[in-house]
Amino acid sequence: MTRSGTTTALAVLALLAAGCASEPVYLKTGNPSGPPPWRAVLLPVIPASPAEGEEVPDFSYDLLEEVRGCLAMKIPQDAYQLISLPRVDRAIPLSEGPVEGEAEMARAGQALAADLVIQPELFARDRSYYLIQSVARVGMRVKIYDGRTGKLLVESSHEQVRNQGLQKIPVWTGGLVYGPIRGLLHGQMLAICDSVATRIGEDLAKFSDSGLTEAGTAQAEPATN
Amino acid sequence: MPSPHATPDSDRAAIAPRPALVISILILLFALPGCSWEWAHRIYPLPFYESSVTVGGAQDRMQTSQGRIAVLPFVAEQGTNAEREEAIDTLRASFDLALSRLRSYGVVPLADVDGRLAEAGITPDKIPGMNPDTLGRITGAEVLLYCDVKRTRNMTLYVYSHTVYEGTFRLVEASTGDVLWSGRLWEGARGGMFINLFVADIWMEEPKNKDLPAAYRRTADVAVRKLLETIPEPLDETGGSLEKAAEVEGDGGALASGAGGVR
Repeated sequence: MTRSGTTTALAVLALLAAGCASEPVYLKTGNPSGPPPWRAVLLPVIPASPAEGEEVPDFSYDLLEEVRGCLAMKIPQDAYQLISLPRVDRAIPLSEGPVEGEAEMARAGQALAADLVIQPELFARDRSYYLIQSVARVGMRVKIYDGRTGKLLVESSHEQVRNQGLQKIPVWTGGLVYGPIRGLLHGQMLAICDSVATRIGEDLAKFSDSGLTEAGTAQAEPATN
Repeated sequence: MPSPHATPDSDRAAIAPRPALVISILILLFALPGCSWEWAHRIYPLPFYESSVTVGGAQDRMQTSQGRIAVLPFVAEQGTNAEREEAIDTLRASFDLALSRLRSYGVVPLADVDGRLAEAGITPDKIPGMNPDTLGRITGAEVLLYCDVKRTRNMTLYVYSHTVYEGTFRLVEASTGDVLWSGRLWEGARGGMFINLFVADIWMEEPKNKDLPAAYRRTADVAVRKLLETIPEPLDETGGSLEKAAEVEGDGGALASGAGGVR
């Protein structure tokens, strides 16, 4: 094969291996029972329910806690008075399993006298290596429930994919070998996680802004226990 | 007839100095700055290496400390300008946020700390020379967080760029002046043509490094999370960790309580 033929073949392979992120989602379905600032509980991150026929992703506890810490730092400070994570873990022990359903969300909110219960789900966190291309992916969904009624108020979902390979035009030839490996290092994954958490934080800021403008409406509809 | 694979003399002369140059660079990187991987990492980000916190202090006493923490204004060793002040404020806000969200110590809100210090006529430059007991009484805290910021820097040249923090953090018991925890950290995000291996990344990432204070915030958050990992969770009254106590008690209601003005 000629040199240009090899390059074309590598470029095609790189494009085939490249990954795309899913569309972001911001869906508001209700208003909280009062205006911000809200006392909020950030529950432990759980693996998202897989699509039919797919396996539940096997994320380690440390990884999920790292993602949770990342998210905790990006939730807007003015509108969300986040209860410290160890206190949440003490009140809602992990050993009791994940909090699910309206009733359990309301119970979690009431246990910590919280206005909101934030449930993060990790639906993607993987790394793929194809020799001349690597794909690192982090996808997170956050659902916010009313702390009194347990009703879903808003959902935000973001995914970021970072491709490292030929189609990004290497600065030097060696970069094509080291670049894909570098793209899979823990620091890079953390940077993607940080970026996804920042976008979710922006959605939460949008939600709190709407909470401010609709405070009258929200207060006019008292929550039912 | 010479072999077609033989290297001409002129080429040999050009190649010959390269090993010597490589060895010299390696010596400069590793031997001169005290054989430290961290120093080498500061010059060029080493693969599979992450900067870490150098920890000190009496951590067992930190765990049993039930007092509130006041995050005092950080002191810049380099002198100040508008950008550096913004960078230091970002780091301080990030530390305060992490301390109140990732650990369960009570933290006096930053606005209260600043307000009380201002009322007492204490400017940030006076803090290092003051008695911790006096500062504790003024801020209403039992533990004080001091930070000497040795370096903050943001530079975007497209060939090389970085956003860097370096500092020493200390948690000091106000009543005795004892250091309960200390952490020293250098943390930097690097980019540009010498670091990023792809043209597209350089094109996309460099403008982000110029975007202040967001670039400082990203680096500060990474630094602070590393520091927080070395600060132990407080023990409860019985000497057990909060997580252990939770498994035994299943208690939650008491957690909702909190002293006024303290998160």
